[in-house]
Amino acid sequence: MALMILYTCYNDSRAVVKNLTELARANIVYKDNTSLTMPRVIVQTSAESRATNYVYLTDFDRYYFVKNRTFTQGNRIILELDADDLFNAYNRGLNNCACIANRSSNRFNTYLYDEKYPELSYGQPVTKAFSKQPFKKEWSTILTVAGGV
Amino acid sequence: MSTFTFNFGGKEVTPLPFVFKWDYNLTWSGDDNTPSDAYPNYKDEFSTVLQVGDIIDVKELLRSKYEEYRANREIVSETFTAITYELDGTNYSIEYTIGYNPSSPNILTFYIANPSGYPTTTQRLDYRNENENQWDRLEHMFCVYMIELANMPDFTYDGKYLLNLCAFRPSFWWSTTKIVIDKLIPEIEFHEELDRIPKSLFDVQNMDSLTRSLIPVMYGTANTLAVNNFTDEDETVRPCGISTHYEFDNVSAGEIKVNGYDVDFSKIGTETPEDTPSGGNSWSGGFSATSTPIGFPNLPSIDSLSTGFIHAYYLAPSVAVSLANYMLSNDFIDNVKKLMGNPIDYLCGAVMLPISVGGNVEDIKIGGIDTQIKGTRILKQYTMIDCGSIDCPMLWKGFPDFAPSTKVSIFLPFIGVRELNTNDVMGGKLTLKYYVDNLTGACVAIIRCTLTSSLNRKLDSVLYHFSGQMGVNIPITASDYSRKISNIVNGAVSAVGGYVSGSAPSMAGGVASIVTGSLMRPTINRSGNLSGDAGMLDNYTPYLIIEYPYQSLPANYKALNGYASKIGGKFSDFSGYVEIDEINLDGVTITEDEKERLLQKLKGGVYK
Repeated sequence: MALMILYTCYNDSRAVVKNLTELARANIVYKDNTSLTMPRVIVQTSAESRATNYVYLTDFDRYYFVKNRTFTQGNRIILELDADDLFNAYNRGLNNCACIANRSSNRFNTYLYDEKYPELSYGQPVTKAFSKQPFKKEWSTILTVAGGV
Repeated sequence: MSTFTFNFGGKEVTPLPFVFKWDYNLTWSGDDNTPSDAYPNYKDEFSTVLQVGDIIDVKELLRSKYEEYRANREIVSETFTAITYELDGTNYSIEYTIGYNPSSPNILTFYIANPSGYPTTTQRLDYRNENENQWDRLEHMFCVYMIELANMPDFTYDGKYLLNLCAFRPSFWWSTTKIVIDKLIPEIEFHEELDRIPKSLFDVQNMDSLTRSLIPVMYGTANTLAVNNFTDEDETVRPCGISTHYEFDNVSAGEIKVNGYDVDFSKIGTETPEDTPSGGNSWSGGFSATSTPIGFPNLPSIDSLSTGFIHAYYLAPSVAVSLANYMLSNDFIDNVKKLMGNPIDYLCGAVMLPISVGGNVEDIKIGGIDTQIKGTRILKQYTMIDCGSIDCPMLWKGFPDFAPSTKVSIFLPFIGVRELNTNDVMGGKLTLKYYVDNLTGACVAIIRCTLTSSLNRKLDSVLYHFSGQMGVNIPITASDYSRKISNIVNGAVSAVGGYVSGSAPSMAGGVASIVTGSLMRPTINRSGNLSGDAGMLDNYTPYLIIEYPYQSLPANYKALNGYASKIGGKFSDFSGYVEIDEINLDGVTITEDEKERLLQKLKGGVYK
């Protein structure tokens, strides 16, 4: 029997760090052959096991989203889990990794062309006159004459 | 209002009132940090919003505050943001603190305290003797100088130049207000001689009188000198004082030169840039593109008039009529025919121009005959016409200010509308000059582009040359007239043809671009060629046409979507929404399958 910690997670699945509220701890058995990233576990039915949407498997030292739950005979629930790769990597040093960001909320360059940037189909024409207006409406004549003066 | 003067080098200097006129909304607010039970009427807080077009006179503001405090017998120490402005995405402010205590009812103290980390400027006004015009002392506390710093790398950072607010009096120290002059003093009138020196703040004629012995203090270092040999393009030495610096991103390089610094300006460049549009890491060789400034051409020193084979007169309209009447009189025709034959043979051409041409006022002579009519004999065939300059401001402070989002074109009288490369002009200044052949009316418009923006672009060169026909030829003979009619028809066809041929294919491209994105708005030719007669009928004012885009930015766009980054660092450096381009997962002990899943999620965007 392996131990599983049942949580409630209110964060978006795309959040790197999860804020968790522990509901209970429960013993589980793995259903058939199972994988590290998408295991299926069997747990006794309880209010907590029905309510949880996020778990931690001590065997694997990893956090998982609860993707689906199937109620079976014997007052048991089969939980289909999906590894939270972001939080698991975060707990294993992801923050120290060197990276290049394509987009960011805090470190960006507004002068980079941004194809996602929403722009209206119409613009605002602006006219700006030069500071001097040297041409006169009153025209004068230049007469060119052959020969010297 | 009485005038306050002060003496420099034996000459009296009379600064003009210190008045700002806003061209954008401002908010100022503050609170009283000196509550006292003994003065229950003290003000807890106040706020004021300045609207576009409002005028604030700092002197009058302080005067009204003083009178209000004195009437209410309040202890007051109000700090408020008098000015807020944005520079490259960072907000700056100018704060004033006004202090008053009824126990010293005739004294008002105020500070200009900002930005954080800078020393403050303190001034104390004593109103016990109104005749001393203490208020007027404020008038000369700010004089604005723009300096050209091309050879002083320590004096610039983040691509910005530095603006100096100078106080030419020893008691006024450490004025450390950052000001973007183009935004705060939009109505300012500058000296032509020294460009960015504002007339409203200082009389340039008096600058000659400033000497080193009357040096304002810089950065609070009492003995630090900041007097420089201030030279304009004529190399006239104009010593001046500098009290401190302010960052500034729009100065025209080369227009003002400052020589002979004997102050440690390296301190100035040590401030951390507050908003760097960092693109991350430079190439190993760095990037340094230095332009050779290409200025406006000089007029030719030799022309056809100097050969002596022809001469020309500039005729005001009334003179032209008198001369025409004279030339059609029997007197003139008979005289010339007797001497030389057909008088028309002596007239090489007549052209009308919308400009004044200088020369010597003399009797007009045709074929050796003195007409007894006065005209201006012009001495130079070519004339340069200065149309001044114009700023092309960035509004979005980002990529939408540039192509393809923003399009820039220019209307040139007698030439037409011509498209400019947005990158050449955006965030910079355009200077336009026409070069005109006075005898034929041919012209060329030359545009110099000056870029000294915060984007580290530096340019001060002529980039555009457009030719046209400014003059309208006057038919002297019947054959001239028929040729002219033909030219008019051809010119009209050319103008219309220019529009049609330019617009049709562009519209087709525009329709296609709608499918691929709204950024590619169609480019429409706004005119064909305007020359001669057609140009005469059109507008005479050169102007810039800028088509800025409108954004449709949803709320939370930055938080949920982020902006384009391409910035490198540790994953921990990023917060909020982040999409990863590349990441090195060394040290993260997970399986290969997990790494693939992780990369897929990081590249799709995550929240931190």
